[in-house]
Amino acid sequence: MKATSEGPTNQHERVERLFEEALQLDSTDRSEFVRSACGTDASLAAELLSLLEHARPGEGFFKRLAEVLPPILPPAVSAGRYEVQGLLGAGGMGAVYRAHDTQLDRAVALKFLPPHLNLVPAAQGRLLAEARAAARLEHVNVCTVYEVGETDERWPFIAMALYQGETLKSRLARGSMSLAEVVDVALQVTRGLAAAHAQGIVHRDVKPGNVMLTEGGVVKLLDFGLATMSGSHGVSGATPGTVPYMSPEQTHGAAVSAQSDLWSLGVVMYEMLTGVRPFGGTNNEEIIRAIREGELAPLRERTGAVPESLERIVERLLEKEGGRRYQSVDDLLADLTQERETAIGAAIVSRVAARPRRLQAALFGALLLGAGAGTAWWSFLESHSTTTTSAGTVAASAPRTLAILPFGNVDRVAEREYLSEGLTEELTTALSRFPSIRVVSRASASTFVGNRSDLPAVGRALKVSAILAGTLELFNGRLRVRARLVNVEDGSELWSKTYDDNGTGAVMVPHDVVSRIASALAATLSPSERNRPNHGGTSSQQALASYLKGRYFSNQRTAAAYRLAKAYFEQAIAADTSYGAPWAGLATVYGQQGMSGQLSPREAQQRARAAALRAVTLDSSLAEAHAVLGIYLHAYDWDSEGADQEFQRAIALDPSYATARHYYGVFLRSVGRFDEAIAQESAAVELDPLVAAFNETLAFTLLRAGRADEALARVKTALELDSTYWRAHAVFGNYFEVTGRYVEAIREYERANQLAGPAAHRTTGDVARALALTGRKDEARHLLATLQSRAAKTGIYDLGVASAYHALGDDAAAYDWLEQTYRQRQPELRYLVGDTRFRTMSTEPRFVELLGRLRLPH
Amino acid sequence: MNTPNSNGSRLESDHDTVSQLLVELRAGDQQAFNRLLPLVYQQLHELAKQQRRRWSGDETLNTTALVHETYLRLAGDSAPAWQSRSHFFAVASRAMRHILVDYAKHQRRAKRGGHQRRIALHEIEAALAAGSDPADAGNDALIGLDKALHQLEEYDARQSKIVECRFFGGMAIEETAEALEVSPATVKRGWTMAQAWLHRELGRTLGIDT
Repeated sequence: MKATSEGPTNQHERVERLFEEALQLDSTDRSEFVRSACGTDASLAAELLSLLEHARPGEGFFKRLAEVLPPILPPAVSAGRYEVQGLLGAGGMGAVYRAHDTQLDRAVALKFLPPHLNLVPAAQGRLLAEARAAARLEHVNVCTVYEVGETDERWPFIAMALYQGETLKSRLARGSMSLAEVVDVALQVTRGLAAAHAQGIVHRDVKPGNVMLTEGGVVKLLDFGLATMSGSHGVSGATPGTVPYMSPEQTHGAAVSAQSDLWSLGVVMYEMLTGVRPFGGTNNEEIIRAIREGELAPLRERTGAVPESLERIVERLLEKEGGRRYQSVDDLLADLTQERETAIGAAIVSRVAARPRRLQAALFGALLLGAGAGTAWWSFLESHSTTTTSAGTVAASAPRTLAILPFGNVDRVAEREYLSEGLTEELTTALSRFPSIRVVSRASASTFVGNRSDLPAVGRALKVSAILAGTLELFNGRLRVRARLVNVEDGSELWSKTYDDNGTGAVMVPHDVVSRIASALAATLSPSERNRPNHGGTSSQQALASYLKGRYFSNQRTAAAYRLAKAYFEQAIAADTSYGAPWAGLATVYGQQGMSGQLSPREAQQRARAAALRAVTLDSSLAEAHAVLGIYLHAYDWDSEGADQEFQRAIALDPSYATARHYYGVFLRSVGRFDEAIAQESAAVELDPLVAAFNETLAFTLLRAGRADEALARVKTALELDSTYWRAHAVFGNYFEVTGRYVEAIREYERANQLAGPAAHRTTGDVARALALTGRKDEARHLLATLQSRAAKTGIYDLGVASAYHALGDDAAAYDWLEQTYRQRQPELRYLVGDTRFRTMSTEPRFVELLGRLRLPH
Repeated sequence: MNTPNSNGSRLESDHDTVSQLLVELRAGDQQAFNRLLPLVYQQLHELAKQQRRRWSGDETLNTTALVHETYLRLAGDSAPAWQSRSHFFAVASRAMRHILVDYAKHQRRAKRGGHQRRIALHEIEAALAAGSDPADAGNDALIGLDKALHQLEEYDARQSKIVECRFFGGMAIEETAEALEVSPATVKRGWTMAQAWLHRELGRTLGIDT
């Protein structure tokens, strides 16, 4: 906005500066300053003084508006000397932002109330109480609070130390902890609690999410938001703790004492040792009943290698009566210190792996019977198993196959689409974890919808022995989910059940229903697995919802959908920074955008690398993350060995994850291991027979391996599945080209070109080559000229163009072009091995030398 | 207005138009702002409506996310420059102001049969403190703010734009500075003074004394 008329703009600038200067002064000095600055302009002076009276309005009109308009979030505020940089995490009690302290030049964390609570005095009071409580505690194991501040809008915040590391919650989600680790964390938390209790402060909300494991190994106790002075009741209206970690007296709403924190610590220790909480249930009422009356399952029954002395400590912490627990933290400290001496170097505690497979299978059977599936389902399982040892025990060798159809969206509300898809995916993941079941689903099953009558026919098409189908609908304003299991062989219903949302809102349904269906249907999850957040690990419903939406869009595989997917994955990350799955999703999006030229190769490389590594770091058990990292390492980092390992890792983590096998196959083909490639890609098709892309790549690999007839059958299947899939047309064209039928080849390449949308440029070179091969050289040259000028503008050089120059007999131009792609580090170059489009060129020394530079077999 | 099918092709053509308009906007063509506005408004409005349906009640509009999504849909990756984004956000902030104010007016009409009542700040506070649905108070306050912003625009157009970017678009100081092509210090000064000005004016129109 350039000043068009000097006068008014200068005048405004001057007034603004005067205003600012006057604001720095004490209110008593302002009047004199303004009058002398304005000289004879009395009306300006009056105006300024009037405005100064309204500066920094104490009643905060904007603050009030923000209350009724929660969308205006703290990133838009300037918080004094702090520059807000980004969201670290958010929850019901507030949002924590990363910020830079410009005065002291250090990174800090700023904790705000959620926008809608900024005006509620009780909430403000609680934030202040938290700051005071923590500020009184100067201890290495307690998070350091720097100060309480206020934004320009007068929103209060706490500035505190920013630690590098992860919470115990995300640590638990990653897998089991060693005994030494458990004792160390427990000891440090106890020290922090000891410091608090010595000041008469009870934390009241000890839980894994409030325990920070810093990179340096120091453990920090966070969030004194619920802390109260010993003996007093909580702030009225406050949530008194987090249910699974509450002591029995807390569940009664009684006054809490230090002993209550000790109970919570006991729950945390139990969870660290076994992976499960001692008192569980499917809803709060059940959990509370278990906390009050439930018997403690002995630690040794849940995990093998716990010393008796440590077990006694945990049992003493989990005494129902506060009076029977440790009477002082110091006694506990002494016991834990003793424990640490013996634990250092002790064996890894295994939570689940120690459990023999056979036992899991037996458990599976027992729970199935208990779930009402009855003998029908049981005998159905038996008929497919090879050996039966004794009643209720099944050898896990022969996998049973199950397809989970997308839950039909009965009232067809488009906005619930992602929910239905998410439910299906979550269920698939949950059931896939059980070793003796092979779940066929994902994209294949998504061709069908759950509320149809010909399920046996669907089952036969999917080559499975049973089908889980269901519907999703609104019933009296609540979400209702019906699920039923159908035997494919005779169409009989083996099991069915209806679940109603408990009224807390539609968004939470996937988590809840998945765990209920999963445990009812197969109890695939052994008791120790059930409580693990095994959906890639988030407990934030907002993060989960955003992630599911992101995946919904990224599965659509179009340029526009990738952009939306990216935005949603970013939202999921903002809602839960320790959630690995959306990072893997982001890596996939960046990788795809790099391949289709929406991102420059370099940009795609950097972004995909960061995202994939982040995903693996956050959740090393995520098959998708390893598979994506594999692609990245191969195509962008030129590290074939590393890629190979990542793909194998992904497949080992989830053998039924078809996409990983598909990726691995493409990789194996690109390093010339055609037989292995065909095996992996066939496995992908076997697992997910109805995905066009899987059939299409298998066809392409078969072509490169010289098996044209088999390739033809595959490419036809791909086109039957999706006749608008441009890559399938391109491969079909390639088939005709390889078999010398150039007219048909041109037809298919042109069709691919029309369908490819933003990726059209990737097939234009193929059209040009096919034209050249049929002698239509002028047309080919014309096309190549347009591609040349396009490349000069975009910097994207497609391999197909080089092959077209070769077909025109202009190898010099072909090599020039290849060198351009090399300089740009185009990812598709890493798939150059055995590329039939380069015909006679591919055996020339110069071509072989290029393969060598690309670190490809030659 | 749009069937799902026509939406896709419309987006494609909008995409080019938006990129072009952003270039013109950055080159200082203020007409581009006015031509861009309806495109952004329509898209933003569509998204806001979807959001409302999707999140049936217990969540509210996240303007920053909406503006972002609109940007992705309309401008996409083809206009990656930071300044383009800021310029776009400035347009989107204006559109967001219109959408929110229109929505507030619509609700007011629906509830009170066209009669617009003035409301005092203490009433808003009372509504909030009583835990009752603060929507009515919020709607009135929003409409009041919109009026005051029109007055501020006559007094100092830049300050009005700053409020638009910061309040309705959720833009940071830096982003606002980028979009309005002034220094961050100028934005800060303008923002502080605009708040004082609005507080005074709203105090008058809403009939409170401070």
